[in-house]
Amino acid sequence: MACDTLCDLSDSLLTQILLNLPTKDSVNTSFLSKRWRNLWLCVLGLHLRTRDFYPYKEVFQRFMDQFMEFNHRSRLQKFDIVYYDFESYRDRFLELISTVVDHGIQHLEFFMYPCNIDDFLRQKFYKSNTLVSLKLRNVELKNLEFAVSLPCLKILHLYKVCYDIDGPLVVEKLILGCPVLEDLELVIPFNIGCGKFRLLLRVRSQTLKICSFRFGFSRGNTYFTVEIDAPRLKYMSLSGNQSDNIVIKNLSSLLMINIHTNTDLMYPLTPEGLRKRSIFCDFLTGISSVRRMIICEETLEINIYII
Amino acid sequence: MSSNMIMLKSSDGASFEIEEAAARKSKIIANMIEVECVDEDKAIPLQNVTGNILALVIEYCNKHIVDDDDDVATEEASEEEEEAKKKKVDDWEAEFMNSMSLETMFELLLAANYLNIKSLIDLVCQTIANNIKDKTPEEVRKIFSIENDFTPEEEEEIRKENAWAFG
Repeated sequence: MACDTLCDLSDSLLTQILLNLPTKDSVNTSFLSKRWRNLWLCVLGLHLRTRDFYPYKEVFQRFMDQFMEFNHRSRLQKFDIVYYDFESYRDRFLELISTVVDHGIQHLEFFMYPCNIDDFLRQKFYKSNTLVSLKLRNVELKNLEFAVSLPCLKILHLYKVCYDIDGPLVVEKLILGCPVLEDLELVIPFNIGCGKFRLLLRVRSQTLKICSFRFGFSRGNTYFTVEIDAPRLKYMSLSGNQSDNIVIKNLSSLLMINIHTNTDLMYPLTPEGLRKRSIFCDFLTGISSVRRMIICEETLEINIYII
Repeated sequence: MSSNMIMLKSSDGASFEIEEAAARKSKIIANMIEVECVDEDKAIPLQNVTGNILALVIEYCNKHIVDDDDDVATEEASEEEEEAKKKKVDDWEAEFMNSMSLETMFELLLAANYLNIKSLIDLVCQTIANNIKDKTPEEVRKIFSIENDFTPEEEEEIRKENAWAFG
């Protein structure tokens, strides 16, 4: 029935179909028939969790070697990997990531467990001419001795990537190096221990359309300020324990904001409470052109207090 | 802007009228228009696409006609509409793909590939992939009418090789 047409589909179309599947499912198609035997190897991307290979490091190693060897000349499109550490394979694996970035990968999503702090910037992805989307979790970005240039990057999601107080500068520099960035998500980007710090993150982008922040600072005496200057921003979402201060500079295009945060404003008579209330009022003024606002219940109570 | 109509002719001789802007979703047709080998009175012959599939392609192109200049239309009043429109297009795509058999999907994929319509190729590939996902090889063979031409020994060998994926 469908066979005739299926036979007409070129291998390149079949591998495009397989690119939409987790690698595990795509490898499973090698059972189908001789034609499909090695088709999965031609798929221009990987989408896997190394946990699927547990506890066989050798199997994973062999798998990666086979894939990389087969594709050493291909222009890979997607790498979406959740890496649970295999003993003594980490360095080799980070090298592979470097290789695929060098080969012009477009979508790189990389979650690392456990969070051993590796300086991920040596992977050189920060001067890729091809990356369109970059999602990193549990790796470390540090060292400002470089120029960032990601001319095609539209999507940047960072989750726990800075462990030092220069974190905001690193993230700021990344954002500035992305001239067409549209979608920014920061989830607890700065995982810095207790101490008295003043952190300032400036998010400046002429192209940003969507941003989502979840910071989660609740410890010690860290004062944290985010300054947002993004004239084309349309959708903004704030959640978690929010930063002390959000300075809105230029958000005339904002369409929708979703606030789900427990800003600590419940003690309005203390000087600290008053200070925070005034900050929150300024924030609301800054976003006053927004057309749709969703505020969670806790925030709303606080809100009523202020007004 | 341009409401120029052009004619397309399928391999089985059916003619279709389509707005130039919609037809330009196909890089092949856009190219033909650029180099002016399109005669206004004559239909563009598409030898590899049958009428029923071409009708689907045209339906898709008409639905996505505005995609390319959505950045231009950012007048305030249209912002929310734009968002609603995006959702509507997503729903439409789901419905569109849902309404056809796998066989039609394969033919549509071939046509999209021939006409070089990237977004349609992506949509169809994704839908076909969803049909394979979480299925056993036996089930996938059945869906795609693939004949198993392995000997039991060969099959056993592959099973060993890819044991991690099979579990």
